[in-house]
Amino acid sequence: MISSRVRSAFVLTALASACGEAPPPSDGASCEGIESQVEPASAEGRWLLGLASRYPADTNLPARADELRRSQRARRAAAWAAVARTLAPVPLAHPTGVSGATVPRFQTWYNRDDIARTFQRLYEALGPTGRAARARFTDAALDEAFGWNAGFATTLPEWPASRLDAYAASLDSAASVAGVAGVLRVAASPDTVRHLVQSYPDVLRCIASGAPPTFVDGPAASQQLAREPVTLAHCGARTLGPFFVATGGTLTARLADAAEGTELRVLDGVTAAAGTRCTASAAAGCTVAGPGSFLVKVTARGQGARGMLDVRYTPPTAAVAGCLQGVFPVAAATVALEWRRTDLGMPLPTYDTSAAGLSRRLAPGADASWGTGDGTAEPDGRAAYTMRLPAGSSFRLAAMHIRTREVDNWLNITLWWSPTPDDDFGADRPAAVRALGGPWSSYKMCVATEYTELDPDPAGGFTRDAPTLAAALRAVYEGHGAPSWCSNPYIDAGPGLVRSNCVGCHQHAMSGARPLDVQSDPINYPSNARLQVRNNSPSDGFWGLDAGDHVASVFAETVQYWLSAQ
Amino acid sequence: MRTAPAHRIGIASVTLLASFVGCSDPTSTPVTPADSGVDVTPTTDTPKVDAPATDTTPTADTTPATDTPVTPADVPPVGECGGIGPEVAAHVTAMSTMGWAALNRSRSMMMHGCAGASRPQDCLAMVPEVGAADIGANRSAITGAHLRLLYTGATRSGFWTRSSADGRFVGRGIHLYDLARSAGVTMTGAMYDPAFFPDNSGYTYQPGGRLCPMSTLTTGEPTAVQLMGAGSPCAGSSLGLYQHLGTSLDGADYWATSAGNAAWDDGGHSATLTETRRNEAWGATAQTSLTLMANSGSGFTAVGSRSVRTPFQGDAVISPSSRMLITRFVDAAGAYQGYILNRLDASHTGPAIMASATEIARYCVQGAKPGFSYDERYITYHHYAGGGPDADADARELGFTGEDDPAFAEYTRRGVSNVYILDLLTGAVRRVTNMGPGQYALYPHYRSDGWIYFIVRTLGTGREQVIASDAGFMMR
Repeated sequence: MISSRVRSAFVLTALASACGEAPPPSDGASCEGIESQVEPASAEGRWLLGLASRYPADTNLPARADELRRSQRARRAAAWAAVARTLAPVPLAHPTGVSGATVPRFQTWYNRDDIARTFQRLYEALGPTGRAARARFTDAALDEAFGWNAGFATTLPEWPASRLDAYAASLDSAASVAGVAGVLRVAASPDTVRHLVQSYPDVLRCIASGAPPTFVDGPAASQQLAREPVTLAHCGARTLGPFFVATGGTLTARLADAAEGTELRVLDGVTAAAGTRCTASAAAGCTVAGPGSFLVKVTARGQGARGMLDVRYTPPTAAVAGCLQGVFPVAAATVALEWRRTDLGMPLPTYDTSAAGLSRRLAPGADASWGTGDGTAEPDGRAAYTMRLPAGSSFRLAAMHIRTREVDNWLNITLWWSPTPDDDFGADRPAAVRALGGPWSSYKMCVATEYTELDPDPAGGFTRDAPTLAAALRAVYEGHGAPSWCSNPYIDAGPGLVRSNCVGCHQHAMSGARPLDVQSDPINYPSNARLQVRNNSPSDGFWGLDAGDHVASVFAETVQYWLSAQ
Repeated sequence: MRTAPAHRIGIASVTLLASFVGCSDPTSTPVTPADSGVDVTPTTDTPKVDAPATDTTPTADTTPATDTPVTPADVPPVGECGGIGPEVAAHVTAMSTMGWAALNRSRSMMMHGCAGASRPQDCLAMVPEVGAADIGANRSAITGAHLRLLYTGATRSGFWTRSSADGRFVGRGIHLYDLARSAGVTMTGAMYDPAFFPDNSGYTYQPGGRLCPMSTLTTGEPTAVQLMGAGSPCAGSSLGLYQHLGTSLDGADYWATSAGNAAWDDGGHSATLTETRRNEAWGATAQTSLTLMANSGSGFTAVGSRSVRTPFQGDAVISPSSRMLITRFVDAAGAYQGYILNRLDASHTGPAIMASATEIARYCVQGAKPGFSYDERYITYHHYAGGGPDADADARELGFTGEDDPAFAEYTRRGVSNVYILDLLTGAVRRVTNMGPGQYALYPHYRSDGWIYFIVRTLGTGREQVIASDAGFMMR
């Protein structure tokens, strides 16, 4: 069966509009969630939080995926709705010193310790035969293990009921309640974690045998047709793809009615080092044989060119997420959080994400880095989500990534705090988010669902009702079919990362590439690693397996533990 | 003779290295060979250090505070042997439910060799006990306690040995061993001083205070970890030599220490009859540098350092919770006297750091640098015997009539080292091992559940055994 991701893989790569070679892309990429948590929810914290609250996915979104690709406005509306679902208040499982205390849904989600405890229990319960066979877990076993984890603290001698009650009663402020989940760096919704632990045999297989290669071949699927209107000025060029072709399959590309002098090339490979496999007049077109990954480049050598580019190709049938038991379910969601200390004399830097601010950072010659900020602020708990740990340390939420699996490449959403929250990327904040309360109206948002931007309107449809947002979107718009944009000033802090889109980096999760490699290698990860270069994503874009929380090591360690006992 | 040539080279090399990596305390009393007994002429003995300059990240403020008052006295601070303040009991009580032993239980840490065991003392039951083929039978000094042979290293190690909190990994000098896989892992670029974080999140090696995530050892079947250079999964830090690692409880800030005044201890390669000598004078102006590691929200960041007065003390070891500091202390003549347990009162207002160490207990027993139990009630240490001013007392403690006992003569010639446990709450001491002449039980340390690991070096052999002891459970 062909995954929908392969089926829909008509993505476009942008290009320089001159006849010369495109300028080399700058370094960098966005890789969220690559650092580990600092202090996760403890066993007693989990007891208080109870079972993690499921992410209430919008099950209509998969059918709207193409609309989201082609409309920034629709995409942002869907993203804000996902934000509201992620931030919705969830009551704690036990009473605290704050009557009716709640935490945002994402703070109930599972961290590495939860995953470790749950997986250890599940794996032990398999018994020698099940462990030897690397059996999957039953739904009943999964339900039991997650329930046991929520009450694990009650099994510990150092946590009698009286101490648990005293702990809960000691939480007497909104900030201390917010601290129950700890200084969580990465957390995953229940459906995410359930899928992860159920995928442990696949994860272990990838650890032992290596992750799938960049291009995974397989039996040829039915031929696909990708059509895209192309308009080129004199010396203009566009590159489209990548197109993945199976062994025995072919790719045929042709620009019907192209003017004389218009050239079409098929590039063998998807990196900046890709060589030319075929060159022909665009009207005549090229046909190449698989297997491989190809780009199609059209260049107007003469007066310019206009026409409909047809690309017929035969993709392989291959597993998209080879290191998992299939892709994540629609209710999968993860967050990566950027907390900043409030009591160490470290004011919060602020960033100008207006059109002017973005243009300045993206100007020719600028290094496209967010830097140390354009100012500072000291927002209080009403203006920024704030938490306090039992030890007294206090933190504010500067930024967060939210990824939800309602579409193939996930809704890649990122929020950042701003002193001007209603301008630019906060100008279209909907009532559902405003209704969540003070702090949550202080965060701006961007979203990407594809490697490339397919909305033809640079302003994303906001010119009339949100002009500051429209202007900011124009500032980051690189063209129809060019790499998409979404970057967080607090999280995407590396060189060049003002140009990032989340999607490109995540395809490499569990591939063996390290996030730092992705950020620093413009040859193999072109255009700031924003473009698709793989026809598979080994962990369906979840970096937490082999970076950050290293969940893969939890599985490996547990299995080894029992092996060594034999 | 108190210093073997090989030992002298090691000391000189390490001392110089400390200054390379910026870890030596610039205000410490300069090395005085006459005092330290160490011939410090390092110019030709300096090892090559392959750590690039960028691997050593200085702390934001590594200069010891100038406003720290220094006791002008030239005599050791007054303290009572066996004096144990009420703070010790309070701390032990708190740590019994809040310390790293309890926290690791609450995190369901998988202790090595405990699959199917209902109690910690039932762990490692599959591991054979020591016998004549290795270190000899009857080496346990405690009836009913077990000494189990974890593995035998085919090569000698240098300086100390430490293990991961879960007891799976043993860093025997530069030789790291995975007990679960029965496989060695080469630490490429390491020179010495393995240390593991008490939450099992990572480990460090020197030089360069390299910090590596535990996943580098637990994912797949690694045969080597590259500590330095491009592609290394490890990061440089300001952690200096002889580092001891605490980790914050409940996300609080914590304090890190490394060696200032120390006694480089690499005994047992030749006859070692007493505790090894100090690298420098432990005088009235001795200080211990504390680095504030603040929880920034996305990691722990070195905010700054302060030196606290620890007169006549050295070999500071911070407890797993980083709330206690135990040191060895000397008298005015420089003779080892025992251990001082200090409460760390370290706090900060913003980035401004206040810190002090307050003595809360004094234990007048002889031993080398100790290791805390994860519940912070006990320390374990080794003690060299066979010569020096304590020879007679040592002989009696070992069951002889005195140092002139003919049966003790072999000890006076070949030396010995045994492992001990000290109960910080009561001051009670118990010897764990009963090693023979020329046998050195060294570098004991706890794992999270209370088992003790240590190594055994034997004169005339090139091998070292790594032993696990359940003696700690006999004292509870």
